[in-house]
Amino acid sequence: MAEQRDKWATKLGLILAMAGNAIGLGNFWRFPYQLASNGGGAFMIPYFFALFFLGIPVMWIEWTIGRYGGKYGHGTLGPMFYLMSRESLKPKSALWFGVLGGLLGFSVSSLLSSYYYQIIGWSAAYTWYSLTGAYFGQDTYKFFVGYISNTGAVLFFWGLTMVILGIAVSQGVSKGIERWVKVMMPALYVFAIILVIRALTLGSPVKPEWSAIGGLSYIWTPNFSALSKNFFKIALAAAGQIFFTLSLGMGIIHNYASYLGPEDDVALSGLATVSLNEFAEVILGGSLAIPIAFAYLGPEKAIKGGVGLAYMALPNVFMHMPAGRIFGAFWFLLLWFAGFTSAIATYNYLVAMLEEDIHIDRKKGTWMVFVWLFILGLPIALDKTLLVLTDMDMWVGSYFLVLLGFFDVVVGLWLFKPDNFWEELHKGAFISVPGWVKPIMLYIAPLYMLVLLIGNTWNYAKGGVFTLSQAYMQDLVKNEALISTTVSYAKHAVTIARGMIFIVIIIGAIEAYFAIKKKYGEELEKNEVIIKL
Amino acid sequence: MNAGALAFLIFAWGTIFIMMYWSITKLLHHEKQQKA
Repeated sequence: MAEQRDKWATKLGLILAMAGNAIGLGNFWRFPYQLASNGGGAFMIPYFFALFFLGIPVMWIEWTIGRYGGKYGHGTLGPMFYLMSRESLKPKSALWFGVLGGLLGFSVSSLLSSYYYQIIGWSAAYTWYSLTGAYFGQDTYKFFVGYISNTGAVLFFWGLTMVILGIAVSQGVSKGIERWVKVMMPALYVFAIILVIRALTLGSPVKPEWSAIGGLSYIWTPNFSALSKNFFKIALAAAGQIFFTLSLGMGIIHNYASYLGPEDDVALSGLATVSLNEFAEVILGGSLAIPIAFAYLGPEKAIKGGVGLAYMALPNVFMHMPAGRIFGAFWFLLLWFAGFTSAIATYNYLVAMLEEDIHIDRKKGTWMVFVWLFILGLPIALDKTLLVLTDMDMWVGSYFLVLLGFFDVVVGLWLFKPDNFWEELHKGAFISVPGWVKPIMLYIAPLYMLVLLIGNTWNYAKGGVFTLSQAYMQDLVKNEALISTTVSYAKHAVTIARGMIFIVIIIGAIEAYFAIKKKYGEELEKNEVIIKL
Repeated sequence: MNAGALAFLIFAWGTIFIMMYWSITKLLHHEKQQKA
């Protein structure tokens, strides 16, 4: 029988935790610059298309897989994938799907955390710098470079964030994570709404033709000609954003859903998670960075703001805005809260793995994960060019998330069998999912993900990303490095990132293999299903 | 803001608002019922 596991105490707590899991830096930091650099209104059309055909179906699949795994006492992907694959395969063959799921889940949680926590640390630092007015009157690009180059400051704010995360996770699910998100999520929405009201009432403070409403207009004017010119590029970016923003393909939705009871609703809860996330992203996130930048910096700079929009362009705005210190602090605290409530989930995945697979006490496991993530994050914290982070993000965002999402369908639907899945999705459900969603889940969503994988691979192969071609390295040096650097340093940074990825994959595979063997050794030996709930 | 942009904005924001309101109220309603 499964061991007694921690459970969500209330439905509201669960939904806030899941929304906190999904709402992250992707909503307020990544979405605006993806939107701006992909044609504004041109981006929104494939974005909604991907939300409907990819985001909502995969969200339901992940909730269902997670709750199923939780029934057997598992919060990690290795055993979850193994259990579901057994419906079509013999245990010995199912083991390999378990290993694949386990290595992907472990890799995403570890690698994503290694750089995501750094960005949350930047937000903590900039909250402080906004309150003290540290960057006021300075060149904000140079200020950001100065911060990234200041190893002591980077380590302090990153370390502080990790310690607070550790405290929250060590307290458990119902007494820790749930209590923290019940305070942080409402606060996050309040901060964002205050900022949106301020942003949309800015008027035209610099030039009459520059306005926040102009920014909204840029986002919401359906730009079909821009879309048709760069259809594939924009569609890939939109689908990638859906994965990132909904925290799909990370293993963390599965992990949170594993703390549900076997008859708790997943259908309506999954939909509520998506809608809370989209409210935060499209309505709140879309009405902040771009409209503010349009009003103060003008359309050209706002659109070209790129990754630096949040940390380099907007501080330039806050220093000229009335009560800019307060609004600046609100903005960066919003980013910190958003990042934090997602980071708790990746942290908890790794702690759950130690707790359930190796039976390490949660408190001890929390600090072991702290050390692991500190070691993994160190090369990123010490890299002043941010090239290690860039390469890592490319692999995680373009491959790991989509691959994991693809295998969610392969295992959760195809191997578990579509009818079993449909029955599982509707156990205790508060709504009935329409039948026409089933073919979307079975065929359209995985096809979409295959196109995404092939499209990214094609683009990267053409750009020399795999072979580290001279042209690619020069492009990294010229366009991606935060500070001027050499091709040989760029090669060194990329090699470090890829070496880390390789090591993490190997550890993830070994861990999943032994975890499954330990719990299901007897049935693996006999190659027939013995444990069935 | 032109009419096309305004219409797209109202449609998108409206759909998200309705979906959020409907799903959250339905969830809380069911939870209340279960507790009772």
